[in-house]
Amino acid sequence: MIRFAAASKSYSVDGALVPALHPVDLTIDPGEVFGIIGHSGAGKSTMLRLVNLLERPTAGKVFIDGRDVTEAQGVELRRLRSGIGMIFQHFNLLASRTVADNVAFPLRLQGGMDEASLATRVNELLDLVGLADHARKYPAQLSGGQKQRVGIARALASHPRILLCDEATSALDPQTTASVLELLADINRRLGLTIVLITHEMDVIRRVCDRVAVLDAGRVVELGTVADVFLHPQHPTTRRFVAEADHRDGRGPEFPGVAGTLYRLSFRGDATYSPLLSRVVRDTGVEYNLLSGRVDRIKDTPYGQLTLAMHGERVDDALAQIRAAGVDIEEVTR
Amino acid sequence: MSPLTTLFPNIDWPEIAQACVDTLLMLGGSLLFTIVIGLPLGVWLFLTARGQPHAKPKLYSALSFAVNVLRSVPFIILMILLIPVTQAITGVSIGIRGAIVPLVIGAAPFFARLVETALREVDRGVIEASQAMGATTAQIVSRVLLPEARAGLIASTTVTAVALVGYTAMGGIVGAGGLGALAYQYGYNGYKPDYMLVTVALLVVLVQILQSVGDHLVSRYSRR
Repeated sequence: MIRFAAASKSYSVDGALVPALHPVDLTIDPGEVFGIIGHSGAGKSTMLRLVNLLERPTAGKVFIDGRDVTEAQGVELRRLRSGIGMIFQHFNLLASRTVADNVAFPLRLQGGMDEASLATRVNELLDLVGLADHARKYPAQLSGGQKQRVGIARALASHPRILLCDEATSALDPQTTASVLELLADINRRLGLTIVLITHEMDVIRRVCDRVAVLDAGRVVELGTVADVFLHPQHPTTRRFVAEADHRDGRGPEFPGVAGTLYRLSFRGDATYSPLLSRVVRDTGVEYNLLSGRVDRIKDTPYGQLTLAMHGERVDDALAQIRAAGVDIEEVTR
Repeated sequence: MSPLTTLFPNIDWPEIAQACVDTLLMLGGSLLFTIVIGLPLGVWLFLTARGQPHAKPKLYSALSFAVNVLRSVPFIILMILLIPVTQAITGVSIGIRGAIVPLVIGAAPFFARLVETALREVDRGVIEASQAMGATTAQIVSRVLLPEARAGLIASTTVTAVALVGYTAMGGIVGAGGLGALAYQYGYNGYKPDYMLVTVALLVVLVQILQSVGDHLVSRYSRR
């Protein structure tokens, strides 16, 4: 669907070329929700803008549906862009137009639609995002969450196949964030839209994404399914993002006061809800203390991750049984 | 004797009325052409500035320099320097028509700068969003920049109109007439304080009206 082929971007600052994004090679599949996470300045905004060519790659290519779009100009470029919706952190609505006119805006830009069918389409979109009662209001009269819903309706107006989300929930409170993410997930399911989103919050990735790329200083340092990256982060930056989502600081040794070997158990899917640990403890007579833990969902999949210290003669036996039940075990290095 | 004649013994009221008409004609005509020339010039300045959709730093510098030069020349000097140009354009160098050319050339660069400033107030994100939707530059100007900056553009027009009222007062030099010319000729040179008072009072009223109409429109079109 979307393919970056050694696409890179540098900006010239005072005559010197400063790389914002080192050559990236990756493919985003149709219908998936693909997350790009990174700190500010990591290049995620640049990477997102390469898709609709708001930024042109300095080198390399960008393919959409197998077609090289890197050099698209004029009509071709505008047609490409009208097939890609985009929403923004600060919504970027037209303050001088009503909600309905904002949603109709991209359709009017393209022209060729009579007012009646335009109105029908606008109502349909406002229904979809739950703002049918606000059509005649101006953006200034709406809350942040409502503004983002208008943004989403506007982005979907011309039936795009790709939706780009530029920190779409970063300006929203946690509850509104949850409802906007839910709407995005719903749109992805119902319309089969490919969604590419950038964020600096692992929680956003966990809730809606299928796969994630971790960007650090302009390089993709980790790429994989959200479950893999979330449960087994490899790169220090990824570890820090995951730790932040768990409200740990991710620096220094974990649990310095606890003696013995620590294990991190990662449950996925049905294993999450089975009484595995208590059974193993009964069978083998080992003792454990639970040091930290979380049971939650990654998109639609339940997962659990427990960090525990284990003592007793049959620890190896216990670990083997746990592993046999399909649970990943990592020894925590300290 | 009517109270008006007692209070203002020197005043020829029909002449005042004519001066009002002249001032309004000069103001209307010059404001119209100032907008016609200054608005596109301001949009051009905005679009070619660094960091904008059509950044052309060299062109921008050249335009900007020309605008600054015209804005630096004192209006009274500009008026005299422009006499040949005025003659070429309108066929006359005096009268209301003769005054409009230098008024426009004096005010258009000023207005263009105000337009540029007003357009810079438009959220960059909104422009980016329009580009992402596939808008052409013409569409961005006509459907995003100008409507979004509407309140600022009205305020700029008001400021320009008030400045033009001041400029028209100097139109008297080329025999354009108007209230300013009367104030200067009879009130100042002719030692007739009642002329001075009445003409200045009328100019104050005119400026007040322009400003309050402008303010009213600005608040009506503000959607922030």
